[in-house]
Amino acid sequence: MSEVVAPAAHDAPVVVLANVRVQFDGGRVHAVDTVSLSVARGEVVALVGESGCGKTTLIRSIIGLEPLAHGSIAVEGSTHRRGRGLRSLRRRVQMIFQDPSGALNPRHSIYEAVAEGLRIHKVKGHEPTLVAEALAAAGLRPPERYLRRFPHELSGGQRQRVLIAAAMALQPALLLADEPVASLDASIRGEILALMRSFVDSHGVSIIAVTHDLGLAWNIADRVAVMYLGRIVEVGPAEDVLRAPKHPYTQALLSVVPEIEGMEQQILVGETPDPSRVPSGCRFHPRCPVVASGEADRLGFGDRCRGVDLELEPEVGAHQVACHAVHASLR
Amino acid sequence: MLELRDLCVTYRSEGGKVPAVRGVNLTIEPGDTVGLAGESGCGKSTIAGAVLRLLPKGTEVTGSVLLDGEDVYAMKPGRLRAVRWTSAAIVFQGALHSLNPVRRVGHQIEEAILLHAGAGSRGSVRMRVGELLEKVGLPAARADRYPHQLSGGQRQRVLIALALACEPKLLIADEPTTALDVMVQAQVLRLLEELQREHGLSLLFITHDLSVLTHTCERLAVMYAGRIVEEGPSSQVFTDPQHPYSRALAAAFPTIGDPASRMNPQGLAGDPPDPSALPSGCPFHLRCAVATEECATLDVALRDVGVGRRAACVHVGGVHV
Repeated sequence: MSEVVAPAAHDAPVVVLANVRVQFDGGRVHAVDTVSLSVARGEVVALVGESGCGKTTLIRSIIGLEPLAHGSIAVEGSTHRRGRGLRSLRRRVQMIFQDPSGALNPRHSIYEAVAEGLRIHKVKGHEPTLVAEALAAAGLRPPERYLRRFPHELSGGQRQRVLIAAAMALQPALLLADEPVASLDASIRGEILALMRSFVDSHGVSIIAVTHDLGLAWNIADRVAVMYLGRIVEVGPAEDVLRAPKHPYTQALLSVVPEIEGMEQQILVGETPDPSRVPSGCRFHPRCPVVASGEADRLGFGDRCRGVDLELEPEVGAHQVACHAVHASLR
Repeated sequence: MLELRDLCVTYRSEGGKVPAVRGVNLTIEPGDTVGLAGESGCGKSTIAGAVLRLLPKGTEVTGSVLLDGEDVYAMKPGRLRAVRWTSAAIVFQGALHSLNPVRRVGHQIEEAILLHAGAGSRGSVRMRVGELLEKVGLPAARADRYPHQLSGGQRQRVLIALALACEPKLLIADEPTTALDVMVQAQVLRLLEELQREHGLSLLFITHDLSVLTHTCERLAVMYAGRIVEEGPSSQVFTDPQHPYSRALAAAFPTIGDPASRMNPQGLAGDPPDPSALPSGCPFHLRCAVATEECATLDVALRDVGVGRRAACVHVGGVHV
């Protein structure tokens, strides 16, 4: 790689999102509504939430696929998102998707699938060697066995490995993974997650993994950010957020994971509300069990839940929560 | 209620015969909830299709499927039509594809009632549709909507309402929650549990997600390469699996809070076998962590490995029997 990384920059975050807003439909739909998040080098952040919460839109905005309505995104210190800046961004940030079959060109061989990125970004080196190394590193060994094959000749797990190989061949600083194992069989899932984690440990790549699978977060993430209706409502070290969730939404999400024994299920009614009609006050209040049970009113902050919008506030250490109930109990 | 005896299903493809199900025995008593787990291609969905003779033409089916003691494959077309929906009904995954996109969902439920139960005036049928929708947690007025106007979870509920339309005694649910969000999945699962309890339904629940089955079903059967390789009470199969494959499958679902799985995703090397080219001996031996030489040649049948538990592995049970 040609980039010279200054010693101080080594500890600098790979990506810093500051007050990012992404809107659709001429500003009527607030898909991402004021999100700030930074990811350190070699850190894995799981972005969890229900469909429609804006998690995929958020990572698409990082790689320049969604224009920002407000705020800024700095990747390795650079906020340039046009021309050369965009090209460098698209090399330093790679993305893998849920459905590996849809992401691979069915008429391109596995060799082509990996080599294409190397050519686009004019990566120096002997192309066949780079491709073979990338495939081997992604667990497709011996690589010669795969080079001339086509996507339909591979299993789902192998196809996802090809996509990871193509992404990692460019030596990105940040890997964005959108539901990377959701379409894979259970037994394959662990292998792919282990592979992703191994790239973090060996190459120091950072990962933002978008998922609704909290088990994935427990398996590979250093930090967990929970999104609801375009906002991060809770963020912190994975152990804290998953073992001692503070936000009622996070608590409900965890309570419905079948693997967790002895937790009373809190099944929220309805589905994620519509981002074109964000409720007033705390955006979660219409589904919040603390409000619905009357507890919020009894303790005297129900009006705040219904009327006052709020931001993340530090809870303990790096654990941050946006909830009136949590903030009230701190006082 | 339902009994499968040595069921074998072989598909015909251009490349030759593909054995998808290879000798499955399974009994579901009235009110039982049985989960069938396994990876794609293991034959679990084929079983769902085989029960109601919904497999493509030319598919070979041997062994027998007894529904309330009556052989489904000996039924005449009229009898078969009567049995579908009224005795047993199926909820498939992918609700968008199972519903007709150009008909209101209420009409589709009405049609099922008129065709299969064949009773009642239009007005009473319409009332029944409203009741069914309310039973699955949808306002009766949703009957006027088209499938695309409903969310994924709502469509899945419509499919469940449709399956319940003729008051079946057995409900076969094939990955009914796979495409749904966690919270919606929990809603649909709770609904199925309530309906099962309320109506004394027998439930055959098919999914790759072992953790969902453990929660919903009393008994669990794990399939691999067209056979059941382990069965028993679901909590035992999940927490103390005997067959190496069930063990790997159970480990693939991490327990949040369990230090053993923290930063340690567990998988299984290799891919599920191609049904048209199964390995010799135990079909799992190539991926098995404890395989020995004999596994390459010896294919063992299910055998007792505890009270109400059976597994098909040379390395478990057998020796003590």
